[in-house]
Amino acid sequence: MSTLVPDVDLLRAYFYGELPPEEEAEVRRWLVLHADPGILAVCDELVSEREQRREFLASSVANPLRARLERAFWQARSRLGTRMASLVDVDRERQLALAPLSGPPVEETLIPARLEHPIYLRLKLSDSGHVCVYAIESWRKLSVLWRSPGVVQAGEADELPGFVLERPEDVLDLYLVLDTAEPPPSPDAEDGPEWLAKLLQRTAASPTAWVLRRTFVPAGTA
Amino acid sequence: MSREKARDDLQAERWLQESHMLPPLEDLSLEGRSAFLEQHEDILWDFWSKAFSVAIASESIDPRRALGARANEPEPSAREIADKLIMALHERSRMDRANAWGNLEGWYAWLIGGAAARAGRRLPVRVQAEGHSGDVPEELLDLQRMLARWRQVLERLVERTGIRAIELDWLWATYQVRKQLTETLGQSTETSRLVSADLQTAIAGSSSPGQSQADRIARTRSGAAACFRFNVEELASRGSSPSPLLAMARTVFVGPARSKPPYPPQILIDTAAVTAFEEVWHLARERVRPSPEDGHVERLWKGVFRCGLNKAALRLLPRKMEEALRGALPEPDGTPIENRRDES
Repeated sequence: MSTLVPDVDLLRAYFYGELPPEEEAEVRRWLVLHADPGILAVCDELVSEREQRREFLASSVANPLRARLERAFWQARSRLGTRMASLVDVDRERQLALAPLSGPPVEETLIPARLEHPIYLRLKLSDSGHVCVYAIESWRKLSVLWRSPGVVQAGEADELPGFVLERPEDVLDLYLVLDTAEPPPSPDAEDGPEWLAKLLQRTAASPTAWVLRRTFVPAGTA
Repeated sequence: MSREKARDDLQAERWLQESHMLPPLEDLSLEGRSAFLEQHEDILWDFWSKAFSVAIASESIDPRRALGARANEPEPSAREIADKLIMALHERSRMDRANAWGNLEGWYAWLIGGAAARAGRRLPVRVQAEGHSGDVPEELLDLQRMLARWRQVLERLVERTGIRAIELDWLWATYQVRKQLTETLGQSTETSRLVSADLQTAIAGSSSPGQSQADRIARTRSGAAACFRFNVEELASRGSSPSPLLAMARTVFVGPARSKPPYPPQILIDTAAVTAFEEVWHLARERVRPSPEDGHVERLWKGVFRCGLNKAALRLLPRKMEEALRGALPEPDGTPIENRRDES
């Protein structure tokens, strides 16, 4: 007679295929013999939990560059700082960012934007420094949206060139890098997200540079 | 048609495994892990930071166990846990098995095990010499197995007696023993009922929640009786076939009960049932005898068993038999059993 009574951890291990064959057989037998509706409901939950996590994993595996950028960005953000930047959507005077350039973000970072409607941003800093705003389209294409001609003075407002989301699947990430010591570097024509990830890693280690990110997605998908 | 479907399924499965899934971690050595991470570290981090955030938001994972009080919002907590896991994969000298990537609970338990070991003395977990932190998660697993077993015994108690209050009385009576668990395990959704040790809640849940002397006495009796029943069920459901005396004890004391505290058995109690009561007492007394080899888990087990070695549990028997047995039963070894002191 089997004395095994699976708890939720054992069931989870079973559904993730982690058990050695004889234990797996025992759990299967137990499920066949004893599982009541309550247990079966738990099993269903575990299976859908597994599927959801598989989708997450598949999405991370399918987008290695996004994964790299994401990690580099959060490494750069983890440093506490008090530099402030404000980004305002000029057309709607909507405040998109008024936040320390590093440290845990408290503001909304995913911004819904109407398709085929240009967005113009106005930038204002609370500390003087060199600024470069990099754009990553759908985690693949890197470009420079705007670069300050020199040092941007604290309190001075700058208009950024407009941009447009064209297709419903577009995602635009703006990375704003502020460096109080030197202008942030420019990518070469062939450079991609990889390059920006390296820059963010350097930013994480630099005492003079900070980064902020805003993600624009077509309205209705956020 | 069905063959085609099967082939499609197989192809879909392959597609998932080959191109869109992370290969399993096979070489668990430090070198093997670092070679794996060199290739997949960012993907793993990205996956964990998103998946943990969902698991934390749905309360399937309690981030406080790894991060302490600074854990608040799911997303930053999840990122921090992903950082810690990657770090642990890079650094831990020993690793015995790898979970499936999606088994976040398994990875989290692995992470916490090591964290608890490093936190060191404050936790009542035996800490091995440096570099052997692999043993401590083992102990944590033992703890979790113990909790699973308690839960199982309690469920059967309630089911067989038909009295839900017995579980609550047990929770009250074992409150002090279980208090140490809170520190070790924190609150997890799975076991919180057993781990949480708030005295006022325990009292409020018990059969006699009042503050008068009579309430306290009644509470002690119901608590002791619940713990005695727990011992009966635990001993009788161990292994495949209990001894005839244990089986009888189970039929009598873990069978249908009357509705008034301490919920004595409905079945008529004869001298054989009294002998069965004695047998359980002796077996439990054997089990609580302290040994120098006792680890944290053993001590908790014994502590819980000891709660059932309280002569107030004799109230389950008819008055005459109770009096006859009271003097005959030996006290447990070690510290003498007193009626449980009420701290309220």
